[in-house]
This record gives sequence, structure tokens and C-alpha cells, in this order.
Amino acid sequence: MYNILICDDDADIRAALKIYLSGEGYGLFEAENGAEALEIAAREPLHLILLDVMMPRMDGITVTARLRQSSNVPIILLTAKSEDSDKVLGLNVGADDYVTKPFNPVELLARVRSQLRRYAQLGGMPDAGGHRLQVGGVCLDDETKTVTVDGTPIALTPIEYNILRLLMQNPGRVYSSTQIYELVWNEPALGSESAVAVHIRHLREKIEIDPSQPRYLKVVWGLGYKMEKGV
Amino acid sequence: MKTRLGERIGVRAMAFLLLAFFAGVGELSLFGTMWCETCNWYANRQAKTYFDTEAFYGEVYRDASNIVQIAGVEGQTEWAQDVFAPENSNLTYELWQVSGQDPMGEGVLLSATHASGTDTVTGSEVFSSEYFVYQEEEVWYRVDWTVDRTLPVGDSYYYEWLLFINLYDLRYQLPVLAAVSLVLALGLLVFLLWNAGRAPGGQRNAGPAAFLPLELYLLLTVGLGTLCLTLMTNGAQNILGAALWLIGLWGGFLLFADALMGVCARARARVLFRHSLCGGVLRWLWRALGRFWRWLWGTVADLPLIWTTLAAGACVLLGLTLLTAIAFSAQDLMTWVLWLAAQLAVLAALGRLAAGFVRLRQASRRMADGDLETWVPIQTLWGPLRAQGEDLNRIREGMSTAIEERLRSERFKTDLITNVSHDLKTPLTSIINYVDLLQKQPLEPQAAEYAAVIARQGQRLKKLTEDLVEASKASSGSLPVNAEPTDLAELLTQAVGEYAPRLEKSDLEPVLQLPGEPLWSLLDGRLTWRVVDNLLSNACKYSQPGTRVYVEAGARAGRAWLQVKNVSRQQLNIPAEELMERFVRGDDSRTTEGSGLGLNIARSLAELQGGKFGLMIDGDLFKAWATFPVCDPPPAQEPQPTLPGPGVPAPA
Repeated sequence: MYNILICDDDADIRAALKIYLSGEGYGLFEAENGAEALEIAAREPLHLILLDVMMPRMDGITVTARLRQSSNVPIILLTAKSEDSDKVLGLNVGADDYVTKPFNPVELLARVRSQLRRYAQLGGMPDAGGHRLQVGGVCLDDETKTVTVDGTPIALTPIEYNILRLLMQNPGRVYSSTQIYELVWNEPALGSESAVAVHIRHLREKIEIDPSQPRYLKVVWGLGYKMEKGV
Repeated sequence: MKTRLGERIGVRAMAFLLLAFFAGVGELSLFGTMWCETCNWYANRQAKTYFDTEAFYGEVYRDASNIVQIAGVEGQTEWAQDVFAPENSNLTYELWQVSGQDPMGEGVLLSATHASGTDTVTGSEVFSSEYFVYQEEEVWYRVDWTVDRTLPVGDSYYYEWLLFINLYDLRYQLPVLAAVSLVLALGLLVFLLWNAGRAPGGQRNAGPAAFLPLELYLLLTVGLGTLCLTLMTNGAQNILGAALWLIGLWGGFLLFADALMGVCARARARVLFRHSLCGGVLRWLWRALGRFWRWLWGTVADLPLIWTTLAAGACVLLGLTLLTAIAFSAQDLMTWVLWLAAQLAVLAALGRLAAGFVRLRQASRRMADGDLETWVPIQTLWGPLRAQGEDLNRIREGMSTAIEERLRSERFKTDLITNVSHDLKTPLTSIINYVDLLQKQPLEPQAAEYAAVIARQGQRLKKLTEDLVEASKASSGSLPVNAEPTDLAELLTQAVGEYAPRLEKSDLEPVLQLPGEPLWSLLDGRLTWRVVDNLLSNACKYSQPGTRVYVEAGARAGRAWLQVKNVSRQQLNIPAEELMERFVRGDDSRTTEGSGLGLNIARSLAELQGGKFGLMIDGDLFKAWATFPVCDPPPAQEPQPTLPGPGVPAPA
């Protein structure tokens, strides 16, 4: 059983999160502010922390920075701020993921599951051999032609598989639609690039928790697509 | 500010004293040198005693000629005997009248004084009476003189002897001393002139004599200096003369130096002419002229402009005609020159008026083009044009104040909206979550329906708060724009791909029409995506099902354009301009999803990136377009990637 700490200054939100998470069978702790969260984290064996950013006494960013000094427990930030700079700041101080308020409960649960699975598998993950490609929780085995996301196998069409393989071979590199078409279809694009965009969209719906805010397969608008490096 | 040495008045006073000292020393040593030269001490002949010097013989010759004049020619023997008596003079004499043929022979003794000393030097001088005065009959005189070597009397021989014994040994040091002193004096003078008028801290004042007008000051210094110089005209024939000569030269030099310093100080303090009688008179005259002119102008200015213009024009025309007539009848060069000058003056006045008008025109054109930094240069304008320029400047000021005010209030509004929607999000989170939980409970059909309404409206509220923040940020320009060369064609391909599922759900067929080559433009891809996102989202929401959505792009006249065309489901009874305002939607779309901010956000984001955005409504055809300036493609393209190994065989 995994232990999760819910830290938010709004009691109603804490209660709602408790209902959702206890339905999944997790052990739960509650904290009203950052200081309390640090106390519980020091006392209890935790496997995940849901942390509000805007809290009285000590904000979530500070708590994250404190926790990271001694622990690598996954932290998901809950934030009402949706500005990019806040997200970047949160991830930079050591948060693993973030969810913007008002959040979709299904999406939140998916992110919690994903983080827990990765945390539990940390260290026990088999070596990435020559035929295995891995970016964050996405794992592609070129021998068995299978793809898993946080350990869950997903079904891809051959085109989707080839596109994912191409992007995962060079994480961080931007491929334009034309390049992807020519490398995957193996023929000149000649105006058929729009097919690439549709496939990518489908691919994202399969591997991303929130396809409109992808973590792995990102759109570089006006230039192409890339697999995020170092997630 | 650091105080420089020359800025201290004490230092300058000291420098002036040193100047006086060195000038004096230099002058004295120069005089000494000249004296040594007249004594011929620099020649090879070495004088052993004073009585071998040229100076001594010069003195003797002068005395001898005096004796001949006084006692011989004028016959006042007693006066001469008194002047050259042994108790008054070291020189005693016997004056003989002799014949011209044998001056050294016997003659008639006219007058004589006798010394008592034995250690003497003697000699004779012969003069003709013609040397002093023209006479019918030429008379010759001989003076047998005797000078007592012990010099018992304090006359000029004694003082020259004193000089001799003191100066002879110094004769080679003196020129050096003179040169050094004069160079030092010159250096000090330059220092004083350079620093005249400076005061500590980089300030300036006109010097201690600033209270005097320039003319008075010059009169005082230059006049006194000239007076001093006149002292020199007596010559340095004897000791008194020499002393006067020296004092005159020294005083004259110092006073002229003072005059120069005063002029420099005034020039540095920029009061050279202001604080002078001439300047005062000229200024008074100028002011009087100005007053007169203003009086005249005030009288004329109150008349309507059209009347003054007519009157002035008539005067000028009449004057010119008259002048031409005079020039023709007089037929002399001066009148023609006058005529030409008058023509040129009229032309110049016209040119100046035209130039002022052009300046006014240019400034108002720039203002009309939106450049509110422009000021009309009213200093260069004249008369009614100046008044016009001042009015334009006031308009400009009012406009920029209004714009600043608006920007400030816009920013304030953005902050307010951001904060309010942030505060809205926390309760909204609870609403959405608890409705979701509620829907998971076993509910009666009626209750489930109500819960679904709450859930739907909760989602709508969420979208509304997000759009509100984005719209206010975009329109106030507080969004950062990271512009990079972006391929608009690629972006549209990607966007249509993203929207493929939603378009399909709305039963719409996307038609992508691209030029087939990259359309590079300097854009922030994410912001441009939001523009296209809003357009496609609108197309999904408001299109007639079963129709096509056209997404097109191209380049024309240096601009890349994109447009989205769709057929509206409802009749569009609102002007295109109004549709872009906030919270405006086609009438019947009010009840459906959407915040009414989409087009407003799209326009703001496009304009934020230097683009233009517009809508066109033609019946039910709805067309939204945006254009952006094109740019060069990004440099160093990555090399074409190689095929990465065998993949899964793709279906044909």
C-alpha cells in the first residue's frame, strides 16, 4: 500500500482528494500548510506528496526545495497559477509533475498512478539495452515491438510505432512533418505531411495523460515535433 | 569636484607676487647685463679697475661736455665751479680756450677747480663750440680733467664704481639669471592667464576687480602702465634715471599683465562685454528696439491676420515698385544694389515663412502617423505659424497623456482580472470535484440531470476564467513574445492534425491549401498556435455540420497570410468588427459553449506578434484571416537525418 500526503489549505479540496485517492486504496495523510507537511514527511514513510503552491506560512515551492534536500519522494504540485514561469520554477526546484487548478479528477489520478509506478520501479528497472529506448516513463522495446508507459503496455499502429521510435532515437531533436513523413513512410512527402499531424495526435492520446498538455511528445509550433529530453 | 591648484585665489595671489619678484629680478639682471655690455666687459679687453672701463670714460666725456657747455659756451663759470667743486664731485677740471690748429697747446684758462688728492687719473677732452651752438666764429675748448681714484665724494663715479666692483665678477652669471627669471616670469604669466576667472569647484568669476566696468578697469591698468612706461623716456643716463627706468619698466609690465589677466578672467566668466560700458549701452539700445518692436507688433497683431497680410503685402509691393521706379530713373549703381537687396530681403522673408510652414507640416504629418514623440520646433517658427505649432504641441501632449492613462488602466485591469480569476479557481476546483463525486453516487434520473448541468457549467466557468486571463494579458501586451523564424505552413499542418478528431466529431471536413513550400515568418509559435487554435475551435463550434473548413496560407507582397473559412450554422447578423470585441458572439451562440473571447484573443495575439487580423462575413460564409511579415529562413538547417534502421513494415 502506498502512502500519500495531501497538502492544501482548502479543507474542501483536501476532502475531495481524500475521497478520490482512498477509492484507489492509498494510505492518506493530510496537512494544512507547508510546515505541517514537512513534519509529516519527516515522521511517516511517504510514497507521494500532493502539494498546493499557494499556502499560508510556507508555500509549496519552499516545501519542495526543503524536501529535496533529504528525499526523492515524488511531488505533484497543485497550482492555481497557470503561468509558464511558475511551472518551470516548480519543476526546477525538484517537483516531478504539476496539475493546474481546477483539475480534472481523472487526470489527477492518472498522474498519481504514473508517479507511483515510476517511483516503485526506480532502480528495479531493467537496463536499457541497444534494442530498448526509454524517455521518462515511456519505454520502447525494438525487439518485441512493444511500448509501455509507466509499465502499462499500450497498443500502437505500425506508423505510430515508427514515428515514436524515430523521435525517441533522438530525444530533444525537432523533426518537421516532412522529415517524419519521408523517414517513416519512406517516400517523398508531396503534400501528404498533414497525415503526420493526425498520427502524432493519436499517438499523444495514447501515451500522454493530458494530450493537450503533453509531457513527452511535444509540438514545436511551426517547426515540427520532438520527444522531450530528460523528463 | 576636485579643486585644482589654479582655482585657489591664494595660490594665484602668490603666483602674482612671484611674477612681480621674478620680473624684477629678471629686469635688474637684464639691465646689469646690458650695463656690462656697455662697459664692454664681455670683450677680450679685461678691465682691471673701474677707471679702465668704457663706462668711466663715458661718464667723464659727459661731464666734460657739460663743463664746456656751462662754463665755456654759456659763460656761467661759477655754476660749473660749484658743481664740480672737490667737495661736490670727484672730477675736477681746467677749462682752456685753445686754437683749432693746436688744441693741446697753450690757451686761455677760462675756469678751474682743484682736487686735493694725489691718487688721481687724468686726461683731456677737446670740443668745438659748434658741438653745442652755431656761432659765426668757431671756438675750441679743452678740458683737462682729474678724477680722484679714492672717490671721496658720493657722486655718479662712486656709484658706478660700486656697481663695477659688485657687477664685474657677476658678469657671466647675470645673463643666465636674467634668462631664468624671465622664463619663470613668463611661465607664471601663462599660468595666471590660463587660470584667470576660475574658482574652486569648476565655477567662474570675473576676478577681484569684477565690480569695475571693462573700460574703467582697462583705463586704470593700461593708463597706469603707460604712465610707468613714460618714466623710461628720461633714459638711464644716471643713477636716478636708471632707477626710474627700471621702476617704470617693472611697473608697466606688471600693470599690463594685470590688464591681460582681467580681460581673460572676464572672458572666462563670459562677462567681457556684458560688464562693460559699451556692452551696457548696446544692450540698452537692443532692449529699447525690442520694446519698440513688440509695441509695434502688439498693435498689428490684434488686427485680423487677413488685414495685416493684405496691408503688409500692399506695403511691400508698393515699396518694391517705388524702388524699381527710382532705380530706373536714377540709373546709378548704389540704387540698383539697394533694389537688389530689397528683392532678396522679400524673397528671404517668403522663404522663411515657407520653411516654417514645411516644418509645421512635417511635424503634424508625423503626429498623424502616430509618432507622439514628435515636438513641433516652435523656436524656429514665427508669428501665426508659431501659435499653430504651440497648439499642435498641446494636442500631442494631451494625446500622449491619454494614451499613457489608457495603458495604465489596461494594465491595472489585467492585474485585477488575473487576481480575481486566480481566486475563482480554488472554489471552482471544489465545485468540479464534488459534482464529479456526486455523479458517481446512485442518483435519481432527475437529480443526475441536474448534476450534469452543474458539471457542464462548471467546465464552462473554468474555460471562461482561463480565457479571461489570456484575453486581458494579450490585449495589454504583458505576454512575452519569443519570436523565431517559424514555418506558417508547418504550423497549419500541425494545427489541422491536432484538430482532426474534433473536426470529425463536429462532422466537418478540413481542406488544407498550402503553397507547398515553407512560409517563414518571425513568430512565437505557441502564440500563433493559440490564434489558429481559437479560429479552428470557433469553426468546430459554429459551423454547419457536413460542410468543409478551408485552412489556407500563402505569401503576398512581403507578408505571409493564413485564413480559415467555414459556413456558419446560424445567420451572422453582427458586423465583423463587432465580433472581435470581447464577449460578443453570434446571437444564438450565447447559450452554447464558449466564452466569446476567442476572436478577441486571436486578434490581440496576432497584433502582439506584429501581425494583422481581420474577419469577413459574406452571407453565411465566415472568413478569418491573419497576416504576418515574412522573414528569411533560419540559417544552418540541420543535415537531413539518415534512415534510423529498420522499423515495422508500414502498411501500404
